[in-house]
Amino acid sequence: MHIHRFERFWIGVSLVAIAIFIATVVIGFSVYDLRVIGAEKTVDPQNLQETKFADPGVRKAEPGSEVDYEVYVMSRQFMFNPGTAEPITVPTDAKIRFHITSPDVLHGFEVVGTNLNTMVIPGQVATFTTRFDTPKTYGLLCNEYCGAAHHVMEGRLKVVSKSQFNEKQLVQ
Amino acid sequence: MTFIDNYPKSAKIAKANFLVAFIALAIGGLFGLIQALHRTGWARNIISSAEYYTMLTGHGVLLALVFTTFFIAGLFVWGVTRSLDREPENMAFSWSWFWIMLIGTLMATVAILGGFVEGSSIRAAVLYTFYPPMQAHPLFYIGAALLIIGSWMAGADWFRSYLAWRKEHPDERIPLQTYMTLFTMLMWYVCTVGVALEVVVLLIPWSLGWVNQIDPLLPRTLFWYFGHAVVYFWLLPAYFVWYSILPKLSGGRLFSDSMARIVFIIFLILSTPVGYHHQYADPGITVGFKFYAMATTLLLLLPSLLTLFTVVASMEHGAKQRGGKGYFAWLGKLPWGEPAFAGCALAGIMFAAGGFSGIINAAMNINILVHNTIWVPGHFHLTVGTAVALTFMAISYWLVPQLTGRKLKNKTLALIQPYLWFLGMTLMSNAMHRGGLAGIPRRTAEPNYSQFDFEAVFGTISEIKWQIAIGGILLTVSLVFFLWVIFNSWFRGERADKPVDDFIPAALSGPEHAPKILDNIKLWVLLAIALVLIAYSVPLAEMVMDGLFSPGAPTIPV
Amino acid sequence: MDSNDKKAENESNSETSPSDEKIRELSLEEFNPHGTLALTLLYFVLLLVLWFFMYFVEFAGHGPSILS
Repeated sequence: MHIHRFERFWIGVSLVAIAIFIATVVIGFSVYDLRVIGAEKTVDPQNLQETKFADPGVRKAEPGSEVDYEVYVMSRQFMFNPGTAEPITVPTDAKIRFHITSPDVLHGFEVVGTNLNTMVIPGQVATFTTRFDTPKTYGLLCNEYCGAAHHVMEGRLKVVSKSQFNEKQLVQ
Repeated sequence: MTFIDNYPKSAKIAKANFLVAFIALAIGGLFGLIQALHRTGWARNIISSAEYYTMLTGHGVLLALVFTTFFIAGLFVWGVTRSLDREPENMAFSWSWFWIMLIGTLMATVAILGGFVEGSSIRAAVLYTFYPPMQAHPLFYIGAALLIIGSWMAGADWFRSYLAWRKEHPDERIPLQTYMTLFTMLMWYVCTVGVALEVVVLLIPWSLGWVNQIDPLLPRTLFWYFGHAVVYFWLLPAYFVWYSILPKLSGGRLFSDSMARIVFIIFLILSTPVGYHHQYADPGITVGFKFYAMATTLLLLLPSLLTLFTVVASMEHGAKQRGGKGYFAWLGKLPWGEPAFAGCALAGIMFAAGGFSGIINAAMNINILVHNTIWVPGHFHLTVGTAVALTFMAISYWLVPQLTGRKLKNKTLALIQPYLWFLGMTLMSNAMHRGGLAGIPRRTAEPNYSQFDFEAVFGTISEIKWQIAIGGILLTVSLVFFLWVIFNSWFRGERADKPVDDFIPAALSGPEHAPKILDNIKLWVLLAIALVLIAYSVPLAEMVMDGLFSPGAPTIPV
Repeated sequence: MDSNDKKAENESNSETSPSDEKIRELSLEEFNPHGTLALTLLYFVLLLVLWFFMYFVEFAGHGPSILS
């Protein structure tokens, strides 16, 4: 096969570029701990009243858990519960695990201006852990088309400093 | 003598396909303009925000599925016919696939446009990804299935021509244009299995009410099994143009025939097992499979980077034959005043930019930064919306004269058109990318929220909207120019024996340098199937194990 | 519009196709794509610079992120 020496060189350069991209992602994943969500248990979207999503909100994690708080969010046409009517309120400097599902159609759960962004799929529970360093109120929006009023599906996520966080508001 | 004189039957069917493609382009393009004005708030009174989603479905289906598929069919009819020097074996069969595709298209279009009729039960505002449990009218799914079945038959038609040619030429290498057509269609067969299963086994019975619940993740996964390879189904015909026609338009010859073949082989084997990279943000798929998809996706950079080199080198060969010199000065010797050349070259430049945002999309964790934001349509308006669409428009200036036997009219307008498209897309796409970094979502009628404001990372939000609206307007003007030039040339152009120089010179390094194994179709298909099985068998089995339709979500009609 | 059309037609009549403007024939042995190599290497550098900026500044530098 005839391959010009410049082109051979370019093939080498291309493979180096690909290796650099993959290596960066692996370093981000392992050193910076930048993860993506994986597979958790499935749920029956028509029987969510038998799960913790029946009473969504922020909960104190079970003793011995690797996280401090668990947040259950129900995304439905066209609101987040909690999130839309009242903000999701969480403290700084704590490990927080989100669990999000939907009883109707696909939704998105995007905390605006952050890297917190997941699909919400009926039958699946989107689960991820994060930590907030500073108090701030973030916007929350649905970024997967979910019906005629998709564009009004929004809310807030309020991060308050650990000292001001009122545990009495937690779901028991 | 040109194509229409040598192959009148092929010219007729190619023209029929182009006609449908251009009508779809006109309607889909108009929808795009209205969306750009609605989203940015420049004009919110043309349609309601609920109708926006019907229009967005029409824009996606008519441009990404109908315009592309019909244009590609016309292009491949032309390429297979001329490179094998034979017309289709059986014209009745050829016309039957055309009509099946057209009937499917009309059914799906009626279902979508029904959304504009108040009180209509025929609706399909499910967008071109049609994720259940949001449900469209059965016409939509049946129409989509017919379009795909018709495209399978078209592929069979080209294989039939190839096999008949092979009988008469047992020892010759597959001509490059036929080779590229066959490999594109093989990839298409491998990937459309996913969407065909999704539509026929799951969605049609469900939309007809035979089952009343659906597991949303399984059809979504089957869609993306198809949904990334489909972008290569759009892109490879543009590569077909860049490899086999653009060198000639540059005044040179293809630098390496073997490299073109290798590139198409890599696309055949790697296009499908990458689908999970559209599902990095999905729950229900393990990180390991997402990682496998990322590695294969990034490997797919290789054939595009090889294409970059081979195609640019072929252009440089043309420029140097025309007296070009130096490292960069030769670029000025390229025929920038020829519409067909200028359009293809500008499309290639845009593809280089789209390649970068594609790397971000592909790279698993950083994808979360831009997932479902307007960055994503910013990306694919560079790739399918320019690299593919602008190449198709530009090469029409060279193909339509061959298919009609008439010279191109309004050449000045034809020359302005690709530059205007480039300018409009530069404005619209850069703004969409930056909007995505600010978190502005895609697929949203009104990206204005009451509880918070977006903060731009680069520029300002109002300037981003301004650029999207102006860009959309310039793109529409460019599209009108294109349609006008084609319409005028097709029906009112001056008849000529040789309306365009249609001679394609042999490659510098031709098939005599390409190892025979590159033409071993069976080997590459088996390898492609093996890689698909590695990527998909375990996750799909897991999703199916608990029942095809469970965990079942109730049906939500749109 | 009419006069424009005429002008355009005159241009296309007097047009010479690219191959007619060819002033030399370059064979495979004589042709070395220096310009292509220069362009592609520039693209490579640009890709890497933008990549590292996007990954480490825009993405990793802006939390909070999904940790596990």
